[in-house]
Amino acid sequence: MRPFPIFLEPPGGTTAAPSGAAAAAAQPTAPRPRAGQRGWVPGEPGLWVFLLGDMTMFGVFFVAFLVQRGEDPATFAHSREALTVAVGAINTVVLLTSSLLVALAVRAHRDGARERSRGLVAGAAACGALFAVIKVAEWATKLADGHHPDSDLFFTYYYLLTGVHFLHVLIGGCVLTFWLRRLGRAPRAGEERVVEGCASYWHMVDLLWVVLFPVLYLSAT
Amino acid sequence: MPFPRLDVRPQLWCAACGYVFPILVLLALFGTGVLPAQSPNDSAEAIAAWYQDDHTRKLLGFAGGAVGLGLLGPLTIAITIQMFRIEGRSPAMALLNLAAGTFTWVLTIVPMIILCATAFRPDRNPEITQFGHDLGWIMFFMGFAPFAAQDVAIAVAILRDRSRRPVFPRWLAWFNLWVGFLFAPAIVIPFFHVGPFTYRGVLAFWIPTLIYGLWAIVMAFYTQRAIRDQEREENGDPATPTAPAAGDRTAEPVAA
Repeated sequence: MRPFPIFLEPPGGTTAAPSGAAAAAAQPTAPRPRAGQRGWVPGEPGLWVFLLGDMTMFGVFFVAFLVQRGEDPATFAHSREALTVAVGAINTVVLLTSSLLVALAVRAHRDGARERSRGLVAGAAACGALFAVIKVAEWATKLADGHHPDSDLFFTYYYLLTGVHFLHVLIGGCVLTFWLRRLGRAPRAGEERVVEGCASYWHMVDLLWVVLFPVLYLSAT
Repeated sequence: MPFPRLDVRPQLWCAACGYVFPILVLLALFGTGVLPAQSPNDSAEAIAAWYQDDHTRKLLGFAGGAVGLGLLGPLTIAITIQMFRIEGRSPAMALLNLAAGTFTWVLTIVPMIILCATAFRPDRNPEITQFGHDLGWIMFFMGFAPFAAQDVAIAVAILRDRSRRPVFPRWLAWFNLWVGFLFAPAIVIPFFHVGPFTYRGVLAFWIPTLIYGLWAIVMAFYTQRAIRDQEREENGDPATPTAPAAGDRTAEPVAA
């Protein structure tokens, strides 16, 4: 009588002991290309399915926004003036700083300076938190001024685009926390790939904002 | 104790439903013209008139959609069984996939039934017809929210599969996460009467509908591949003598 249905059995069955180490030694993996070399991909290649796909989705959002703005330029131009460009600009600087810290952290990690890398990631996470606080304060101000998501189509897009981006920042916060925790432990094989994956995600969050800021705050019709 | 040969054919049939389902649903809904849905910005009279015009064809469309969406369940079952192989005795993500997939299954068929009921009496008060129309389509597209949970469950299971011979390719995890993100905009459908986020707009309707079809086909293909791997592992395959023996899916981490 088997203790578990077949799909719930421990790997390798209940009888045969797995000889994983020997099997792993028998199948050497090809060396990974180094950073900057031909064939090198930051993080793991599959991650880019997600990153490029996500950026495509934002691209469609931006096109939808621009098409609708073209249909009603007066409303969009008028409502855009209610936004405070300085707040958006400060947030842009905050996110760009965090991206720089993340890039420096990856470099420090490659050089084996774990402690320095950890400090840099913590700095990037602090910038991300600052961005979130400024964003929430901005939303609160706009709501207090009577600009609601259903005020007009511009504000619908404003709350929607910044909201979806905010969701990306929150997930980014989880990613950076995961990265920090990883750095607090002993190094593991293949860690560089994980670190690059986290950094790539954070750079995407930054890049999306760098496009979002001029589209929403700056561009006149 | 020897065991009878593993018969994976029912699993393969379940997975194959993933190929048939999007084709059947898209044919039924687009072929009869019930999709794209009448605009939420139309008057109650315009929507009622649409239901009155050739109303048997519309009934056929909604009924056909319900039949096609029925095939979503078997695909979820096949994916769940393969996720059991990844997770072994701690199948949290597999069961989340099962629960979320079942919920999506129900929450996409029920709107088809509501729309059938809307088309059932075309001569009633137009405002009631409009309500049925709104209820059906808003439920249909917002019902995809638990589908995002299914995507995340699949992605987490695949990313945590550290065996030397993973059940699914790793990029499939990232693909699932992307699909889950794409369905997020469907949440805002009730806020819009015009534009790309309405239940006939590009972001809340066209992209999720077509991507969902693509997702089903991609998952059906890789689930069938995983099922064939399972068959080879557990039965051995005389045709390929190099096939790994049972138990090769050890929990040994891969050196990246």
